[in-house]
Amino acid sequence: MEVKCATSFDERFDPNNVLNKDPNKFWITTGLYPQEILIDLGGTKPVNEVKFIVSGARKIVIEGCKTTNASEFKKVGESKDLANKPGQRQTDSVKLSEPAPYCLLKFVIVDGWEDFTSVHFIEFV
Amino acid sequence: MSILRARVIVAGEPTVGKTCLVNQVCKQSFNHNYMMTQGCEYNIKEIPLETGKSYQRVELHLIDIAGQNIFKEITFELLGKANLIMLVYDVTNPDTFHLLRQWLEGIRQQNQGRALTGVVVANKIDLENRVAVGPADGAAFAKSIGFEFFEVSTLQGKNIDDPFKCLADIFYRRYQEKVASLGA
Repeated sequence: MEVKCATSFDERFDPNNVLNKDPNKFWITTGLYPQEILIDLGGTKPVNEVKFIVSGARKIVIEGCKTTNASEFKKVGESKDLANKPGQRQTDSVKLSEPAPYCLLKFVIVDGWEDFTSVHFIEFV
Repeated sequence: MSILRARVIVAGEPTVGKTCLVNQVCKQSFNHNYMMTQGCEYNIKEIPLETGKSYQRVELHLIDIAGQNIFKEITFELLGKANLIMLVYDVTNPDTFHLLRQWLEGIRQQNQGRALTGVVVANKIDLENRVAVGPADGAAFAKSIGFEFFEVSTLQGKNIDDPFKCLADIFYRRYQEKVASLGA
């Protein structure tokens, strides 16, 4: 599993940090919304739910693609407004409306409570 | 190198010179004829920042909002998702100064839950003989809402870069604060 692409980049904060369980490692957006991170699941894997730890985010959307060519993404899950917790981590999850095997998933931060959102961990269940 | 991007709402009453200021800074052009902004205009100003060893750039995405009342229904939604605010008034017209608080309230309404800050810009200081709002009043208002204050003459190009540099600095500082708060 690896991050294929992210819409913000600061060399200090590798987008692949979101797949690392170390809470002190993270990826951070550098301004404006929406922002997204594209994750290659390393083959076709069944996903029912996406769990995540973030900060500063307001709304998350999950888009899934069942092929490896990244051309047919479909919205498969959406969070409600996350609680506004300035300076604190937000632990939440999105249950997929279409649980199915996916090759690629997009984690889209549609809007944020803060100027910047940090993503500490994303897990696919 | 990383690029920080901020959405800046440029607001104020009609004819205070919002579009002229933005065009002068972004395109180095000044139009002597009044061209009413319809809805909004969108420009990007890049500000390079020298920050120790790393070179960073802030892109200010300037949403230049129409000041005319007839566009308020259209423009209200454009005030959302703001990172920073630039409030502009005309030093020769006290009404444009007094109505800034209303503009600020409108922007805050569309950005509930977000901490907003920015700059107050006093434009047309070249019209020395017609100044009706002194710098002390402008500075006091800016301080009362937690904003920085700048006096500019868009016509003469005087101080026009300063408020934009200030916004870029504020945004960069916020980024650094966010990163520090995460323990990095």
